[in-house]
Amino acid sequence: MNYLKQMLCGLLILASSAESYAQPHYKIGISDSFQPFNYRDAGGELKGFNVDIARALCKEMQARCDFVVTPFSKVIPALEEGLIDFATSNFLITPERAKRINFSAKYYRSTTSLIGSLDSSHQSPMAILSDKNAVIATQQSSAQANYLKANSQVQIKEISSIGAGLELLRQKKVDYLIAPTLFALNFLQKSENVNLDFIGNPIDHPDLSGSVHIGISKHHPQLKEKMDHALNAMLVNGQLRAIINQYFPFDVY
Amino acid sequence: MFTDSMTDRKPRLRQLIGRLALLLIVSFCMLIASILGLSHSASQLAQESQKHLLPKIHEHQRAALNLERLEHMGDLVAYGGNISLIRKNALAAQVLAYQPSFELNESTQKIVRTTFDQIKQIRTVRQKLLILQGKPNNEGTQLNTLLRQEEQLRALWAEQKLDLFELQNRIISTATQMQTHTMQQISLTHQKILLVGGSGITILLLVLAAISYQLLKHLVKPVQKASNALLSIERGEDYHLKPARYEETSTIYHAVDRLAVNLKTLHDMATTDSLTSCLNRRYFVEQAELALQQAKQDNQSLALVMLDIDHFKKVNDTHGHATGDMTLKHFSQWVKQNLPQGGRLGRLGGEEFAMLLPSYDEAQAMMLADHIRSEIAEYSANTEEIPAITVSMGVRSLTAVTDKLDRLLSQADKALYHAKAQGRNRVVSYSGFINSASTGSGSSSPQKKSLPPLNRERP
Repeated sequence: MNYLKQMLCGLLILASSAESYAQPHYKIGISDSFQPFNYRDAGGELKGFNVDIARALCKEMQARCDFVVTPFSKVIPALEEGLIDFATSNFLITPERAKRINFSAKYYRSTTSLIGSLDSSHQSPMAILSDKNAVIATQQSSAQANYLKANSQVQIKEISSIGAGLELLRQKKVDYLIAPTLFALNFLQKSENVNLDFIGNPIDHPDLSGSVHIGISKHHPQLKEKMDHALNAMLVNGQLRAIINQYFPFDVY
Repeated sequence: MFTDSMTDRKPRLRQLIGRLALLLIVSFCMLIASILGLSHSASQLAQESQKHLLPKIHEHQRAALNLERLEHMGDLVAYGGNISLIRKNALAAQVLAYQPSFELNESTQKIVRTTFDQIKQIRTVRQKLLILQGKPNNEGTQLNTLLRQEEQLRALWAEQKLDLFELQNRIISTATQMQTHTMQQISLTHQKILLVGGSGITILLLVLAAISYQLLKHLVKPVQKASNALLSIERGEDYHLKPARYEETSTIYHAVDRLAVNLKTLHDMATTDSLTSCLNRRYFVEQAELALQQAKQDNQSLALVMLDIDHFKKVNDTHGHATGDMTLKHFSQWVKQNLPQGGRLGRLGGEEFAMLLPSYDEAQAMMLADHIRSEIAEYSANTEEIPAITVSMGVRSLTAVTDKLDRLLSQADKALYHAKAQGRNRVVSYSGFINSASTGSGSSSPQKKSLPPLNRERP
């Protein structure tokens, strides 16, 4: 009798593994403090543009997906180690990143802006970047952090999550925060942030603006093609535009 | 007759057919290749437009839509009732104005950024104005200045909106142009395919026509000519074959020629006398029968003349058979020289000959016969290798449609014997001989004598 139970269990496991073979299962790396891209709502549920994009992609690829909440700075290592399969984490393509992970086709486009107090909004960002006394917060291991290190004289404050940077800015522990413009827009549009503003216009530099991509683990060499196909399908059938309209005041593709 | 020597080398028909087949294959392959090439380029064009042009068109459409959004944001900044709304839209307008979507071209970017600058100005003025209006005792002069500025800026904004509208139209028309251009290119390629296909098929047909012509000229025609020549040979008519160009047809022509020669030999052997080359008895009778039928049918006259060399046995006995044969040869040669068109000479046996003279009446036949008679007497006297000879002849002409050949022949024979009986070396007509029974005329001879009784005496 016991033996029979064991056999049944074994069969069930086999059956379920066969099913999971038929339907791929992906782990998606995502951070949870980057409104409106990826954040938690009041109920603690993951929400945002990237979350919707990832879900729609999985549906299009007929895959089962699970989100693995990962701080932005850990996303690329996790992809390298194969802990996650892909990450909808607003990646600009840089040569260093391209060595470590694969990238999907673009899914939207972005620029980078400096935000700070309303009083300094008339200043030029380039002037601030050459100011040795200025303290600028930046997301650890982001394109912006790399840019600051390479192109500015400012004091750089690297933060593990952009949420922490916003807090520092509110408390005036840093003078400025450098961040993706669309993210900053959402933050600045909130009524509690009326005393903050963009500092000048977006910073004009190829490392800081352009097309944004999904990072894909090199453990899945075929996944890029599959994902690009799915993205194109979403572009053609209007799904991508519908998701964009839900989160942004204009078409960011 | 085919007059071509077999010795010079001729190209082979097989090579011609091989070349034609190669031509056909090459032109067919070229047609297929060009159509495949074009359809490949058409599909590439379609793929290209799918891959590059379609996204570009979409990019333009998105830019046009975003311009509309920008205009809407500007409107909210210019006319919005509360500071928060103005701020929100001004921020969004700033982000949008610097969004890479507008990197279509420099002029678009420039217009979008001046639009944003205006929105920023309106925002500054209207924020100040709204704050001032919110205060209970505001200073009239500053308020008025701001109101005036607001009015001016709104007027400028209205103008700017016209620029934006124009830009939007430009972007959309560019997208439309791209689309039209692609469609044109695709339809052009299709036209090219049709053109190439059409002309290719025409060329192929021309090639086929050329091949058919070549095959007709060098294969079918020669074979036809050869078979016509065979038919001519069968009918005993003459034929003519021009030299064939190819070895195989040339071989056929030579075979036809050999056949013709063989047939002629066989025919001659069957119809002529080998010594004198005159018609033999059987063939002469056959020919005479045909001529008689023809004469009756055409209502023409016809004459038969029997000839017999006088005292030929003596020639053989005195001079030997060789001289006898020689005499026969010369004799028939001299007679033949006098034969009119269609006239025939047959050797009926030994030294007995018969002459067939279509369309000759009795008088004409008598005249010709007498001329031959005198010529032979003269020629033979002047020819050293044979003795002098004379000849007797009996003439019978067709008088009634009921006349049968054997009757005519036997009547001519009777006339001949009459000539012999009258003393030889003379011509006697059957009618004259019958009439002479009463009138005593009807023979043509050096000496006119009354007819002795008819008896058959061999010379």
